[in-house]
Amino acid sequence: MLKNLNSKHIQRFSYKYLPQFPISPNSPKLGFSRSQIANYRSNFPTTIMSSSKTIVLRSSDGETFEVDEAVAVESQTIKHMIEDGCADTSIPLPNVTSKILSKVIEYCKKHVETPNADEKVAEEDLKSFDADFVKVDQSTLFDLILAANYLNIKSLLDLTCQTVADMIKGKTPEEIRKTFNIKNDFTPEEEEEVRRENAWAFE
Amino acid sequence: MSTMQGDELNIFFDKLVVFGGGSRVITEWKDIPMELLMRIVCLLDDRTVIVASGVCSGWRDAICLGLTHLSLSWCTNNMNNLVLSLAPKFTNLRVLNLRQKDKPLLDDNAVETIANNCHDLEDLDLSKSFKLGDQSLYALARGCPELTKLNISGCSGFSDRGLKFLSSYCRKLKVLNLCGCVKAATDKALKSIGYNCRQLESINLGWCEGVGDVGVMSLAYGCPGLHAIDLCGCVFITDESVIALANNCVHLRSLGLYYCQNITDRAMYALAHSRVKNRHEVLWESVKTRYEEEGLMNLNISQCTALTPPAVQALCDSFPALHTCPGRHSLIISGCLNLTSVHCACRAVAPYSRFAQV
Repeated sequence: MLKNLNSKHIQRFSYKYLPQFPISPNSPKLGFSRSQIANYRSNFPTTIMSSSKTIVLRSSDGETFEVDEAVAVESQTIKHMIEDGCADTSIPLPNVTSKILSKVIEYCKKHVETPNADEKVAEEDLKSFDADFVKVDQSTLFDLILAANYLNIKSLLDLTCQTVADMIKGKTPEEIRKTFNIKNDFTPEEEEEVRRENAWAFE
Repeated sequence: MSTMQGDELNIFFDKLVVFGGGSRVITEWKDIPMELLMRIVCLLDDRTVIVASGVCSGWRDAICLGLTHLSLSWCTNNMNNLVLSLAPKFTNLRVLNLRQKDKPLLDDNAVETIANNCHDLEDLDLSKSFKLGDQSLYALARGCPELTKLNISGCSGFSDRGLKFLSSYCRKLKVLNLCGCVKAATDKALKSIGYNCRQLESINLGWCEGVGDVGVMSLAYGCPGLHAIDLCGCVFITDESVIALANNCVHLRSLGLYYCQNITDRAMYALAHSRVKNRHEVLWESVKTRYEEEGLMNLNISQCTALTPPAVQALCDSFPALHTCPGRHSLIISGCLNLTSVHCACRAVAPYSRFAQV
């Protein structure tokens, strides 16, 4: 509905929805707090108020990335930082390297651009993007999981965790260690216990 | 999380905290934070979880701390050995499924090991463990006081002494399945359950021939929250049990009386009238739910050949949720050839057919 607004609508309704002057403590209904404005903006992307803003993200190795706010708020962590007013200059992300941050931004961009999976084509396209996105070495996958967790991006976290789960299924402990480059640090007794349990589980 | 001890909590936080650009940055899979590993482990089947706990000590410690749900019902031969080996490690288990498929696999020592280690256990399924004896129940009573769901159907080795002891310690029991536990489910044990397990909501006493009116009445008086009770095959039950249930258990939703051939119309009228009597007690709930959603939803009176159509029809009329229509069949009267004229309100399609079958 908001997409079809023209100047006539704005004139008719502005007296109701825009703050009137003077704003005093005695007229609470006519004024809007900063969080109300932020909330209104986040709920109505094509709003009367302003167009999209860009956010600057800084990785742990000092590189900066400028992204649309709509892309940046895919991360709940960044979203809360913006709402709390910490995003005036740039947002530092000390736990994420530039290599991983650029990948995460690529993921968020794709997921924001694709309309809400209404059409089958869009859904298929997104699925194949996700499948290719996680075709990385295990070290990058590990960093992606940590980054998705730190930045609180649920869909990326679910995707990466499912990928790891699929990599673990059907393998013996030794094969899992090889896949993820993990050293076997069990004592001989513990190793024997593991061997027994695996034998029982598969008999 | 609340079940972790002091130094385990420290290890957990050490693993979570990541300092920017410093020496504590996590780079290896063996150091993956516990919550992330558990997120991955939740996507795995139980056999793979056991494999994953044998990868490295970091993963093993994380899984032992974080695993709350485990099922070993897929084991064909070595369930007992696995329980003996895993229970001392997976101490935070809350739900454990040890249902056996064909042959009995569990011994008392396995259940004792569980009881000695998994003190937070809430849901335990031991069905078809023929080899277990009262020792297991004594151990569970002492070790798992938080039990709310217990399934010991088919465990014919338990006696009522063991069940009495269990009920006096596991007072939080809500769901209890004693189907086929002929020696265990006697009136003595039910009296103890009715006295101790006040929060009981669902109990299955199918084929427990030792159950009589005294036992069921103790349950009715002791457990006002009871909403499902299955007395299939409890041939010594009479109307007194059903009347006690009707008068005391206002939340009753499901009642199984299959093969209870001593049940007469008196019981049916008591159930029907209880709806009216108990209306003011459930008044606030009826504000939230519709009339049709309260009251009996499932009733099985198959083979109760002493019942007559007027009584059962009165019952059907009082409880709109009881259906005889093919889609939502919830009033089961198979084997009662004289009750074929009973219809739920949905079957008011051809009212003249009711008169025709007189």
